[in-house]
Amino acid sequence: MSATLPLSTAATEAVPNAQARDDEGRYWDAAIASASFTELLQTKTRLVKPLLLTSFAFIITTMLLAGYAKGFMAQKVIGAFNMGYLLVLAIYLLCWAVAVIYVRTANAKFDVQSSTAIAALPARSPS
Amino acid sequence: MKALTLAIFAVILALTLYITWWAAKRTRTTSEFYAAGGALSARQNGFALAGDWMSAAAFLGFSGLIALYGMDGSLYAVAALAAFLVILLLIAEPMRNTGRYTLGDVIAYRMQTPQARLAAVVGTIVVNLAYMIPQMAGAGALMKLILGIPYETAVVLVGIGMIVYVLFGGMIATTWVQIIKAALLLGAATVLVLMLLAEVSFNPLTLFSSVELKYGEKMLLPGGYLKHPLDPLSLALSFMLGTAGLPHIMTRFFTVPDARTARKSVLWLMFLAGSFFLVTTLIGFAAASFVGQDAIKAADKGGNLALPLLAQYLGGGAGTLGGQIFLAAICAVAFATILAVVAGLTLATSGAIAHDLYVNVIKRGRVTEQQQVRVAKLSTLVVGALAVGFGLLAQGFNVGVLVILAIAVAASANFPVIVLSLFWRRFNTAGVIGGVAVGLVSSLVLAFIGPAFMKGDAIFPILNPTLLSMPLGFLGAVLGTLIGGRNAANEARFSEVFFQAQTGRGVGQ
Repeated sequence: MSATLPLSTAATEAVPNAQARDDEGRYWDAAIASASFTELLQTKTRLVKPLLLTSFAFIITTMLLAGYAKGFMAQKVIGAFNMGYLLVLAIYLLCWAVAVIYVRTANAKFDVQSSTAIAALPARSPS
Repeated sequence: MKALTLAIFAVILALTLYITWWAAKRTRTTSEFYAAGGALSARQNGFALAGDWMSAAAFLGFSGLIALYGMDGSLYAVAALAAFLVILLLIAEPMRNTGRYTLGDVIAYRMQTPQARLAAVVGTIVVNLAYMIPQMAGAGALMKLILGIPYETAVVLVGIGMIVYVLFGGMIATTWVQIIKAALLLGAATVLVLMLLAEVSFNPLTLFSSVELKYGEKMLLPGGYLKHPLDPLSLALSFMLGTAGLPHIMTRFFTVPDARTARKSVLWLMFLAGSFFLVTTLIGFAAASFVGQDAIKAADKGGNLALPLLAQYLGGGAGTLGGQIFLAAICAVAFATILAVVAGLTLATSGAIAHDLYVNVIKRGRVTEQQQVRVAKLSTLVVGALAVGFGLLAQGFNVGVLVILAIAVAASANFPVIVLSLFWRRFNTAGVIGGVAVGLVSSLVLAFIGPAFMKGDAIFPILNPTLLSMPLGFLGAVLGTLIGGRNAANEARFSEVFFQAQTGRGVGQ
C-alpha cells in the first residue's frame, strides 16, 4: 500500500495474502480508534448533528404544513404576504445560516485536526 | 430582428469555442480531462457548480411554474437550495477525499470489487441520460420557437456543441463554459430583477398583492401544481437527498485540490444559486402580473417562456428594439445554459464508461495514460451521439417525467449506496448491487405508474416517487448486505476508507 491515496482499485484489488491484509486492517482499526481521530470525529458530530437535525425538522415541517395545513399557510403576515411565504423565506435564511456556520467552524477546526490525526499515524515499513 | 438574435447566439457560441480552444491546449493528461487537474479554486468551482445547478429546468422551469401556479413553484426553487445542505454537511468532503474522476471511484475504493463499480456505472448512466434527454428536448423546443429552425436541427446543433467542448477541452472547457454561463445568467437575472422592482417602486409586496388581485389567493398557497398533500415533502426529500446522487454534480468535487476548497465552493454555490432561486418568485409573479398567464400559456403550455417574455416586456414590449434585444439576450443565455449543462453530463457519463467500465472493469487498470485519454474521447463521441438520438426520439414525449425520474433514481439508487459506503462498516458489494437494483427499479416503476406519466389514471398518487422509492433503495442495500454475509476483509477495509474520507490523507499533494 503506498503512502499516498490508493485510488486505483487495480493497485489494491490484488491484496497479496491474508496475513498482510490482517496487518493492514489492524493498522487502520488502531488509526480510527486513536485519540486525535476520535477528537476530529467528535468535533464533526457536534457541529453536523444539530445543524442537520434542525434544518431537516424545519423543512419537513414546512412541507407537511404545505400539504396538510393550507389554512395556516394562508394567514396574512404583511399585506398579501402570507405565512406560507414567510416559511419559504425562512428556509432560505436557514440554509444560508447553516452553510455559513458549518463552513466557518469547519475551516477553523477540521483541517487542523485532520492534519493532527494524519501526523499521529504510526510509521510503518512500506509494503 | 431574427438577425439580432442570431448575432447574440453567435457571439456566445464563439466565446465558448474560444474557451474550448484555450482549454484544449491545457488538456493532456487523464486528470486534466476528467477533473481539470484538480486545480480549481473555491470560487471557480462554486460558479461552475452554480452553473450546473441553474439548468434550463431551474432557469426557465421554476419561474414558469411560479408564474402559472404560484407557491408550488416557489417550493421547487427553495428545495433546490436545500438540496445542498446534505451535500455540504455529509458528502462533499468525503467525496473529495476518496474519489478521483467518478462516482464509481468512490464506491470501488470502499468495496475493491469490479461488481460494485459496475453497479455505480449503471446508476450513473441511467441518471445522466434521464437528466440529459429533457435538456436536449428543451433546447430543441426553445430554438425552434425563437429562431424558427426545425427541432431536429436544433437537437443536432446542441449535440455537436457539447461534443466539441468535451472532446477537445475536457473538464477544463466544460468548467469555464459553465463559469461564464453562470456569470451571464446571474448578470441577466440582476438586471431583470432591478427592472421589475423599478416597476413596483421597489416594493416586492406589491407583486404579491397584484398577483392575488389578478388570479386569486390560490396563487399564494400550495396545491396549484402539487396535488397530493405529500407531494411537497416528497419533492423536498428528492432534492435534498437526490442531488447528492447526481454524478455530474459530484464530479465537480474532484476538480478542487482538497476538502477545504470543496466546502468553500459549496458555500459559493449556495449564495449564488440560492439568490437566484429566491428571486425566481419575484420573476414569476412579475411575469404573471405584467405579461399575464394567458400570454405565457399561449407561448408555451408548461410556462417555460415566462422569463423570456418578462424580459421582452421589461425591455419595452414586443416589436420594440429594446424588447427584442432583451428577449434575444435571455434566449441566448438559456441556450448557453443548456449547452453547458449537457456538456457536464456528457463528461460525467463518458467518465463512467471509459474510466469505470473500460479502464477499471474490463482492463483492470492495465491501460497507459495515452490510451485512457483516447478511450475517454471515444466514449464522449458515443455518449454524445446517444444523447442526440434520444433527444430526437423525445420530441412530443412528456419529458417532465424524465426530470422527476432522474432525481428520483439519484435519490433512491445512488444516494443510499454513497452514504452507506462512507459510513457503514458492514456494507458490502452485495449491498451495493441490492441498493442500486432496488432503488432503480422502484423509482422507475413508481414514476411510470405515477401522475407525471399516467395523468388522472395514476396508480401511485405522488408525483415524485422518492418518498417511497428512497427508503426502498436503502432497504435493498441493507438486505443485499445481509444476504451477502459478513466478510472480514471488507469490514477491515472500512477503517481505512473511513479514516481517508474524514481526513483526506494525501489528497492534493
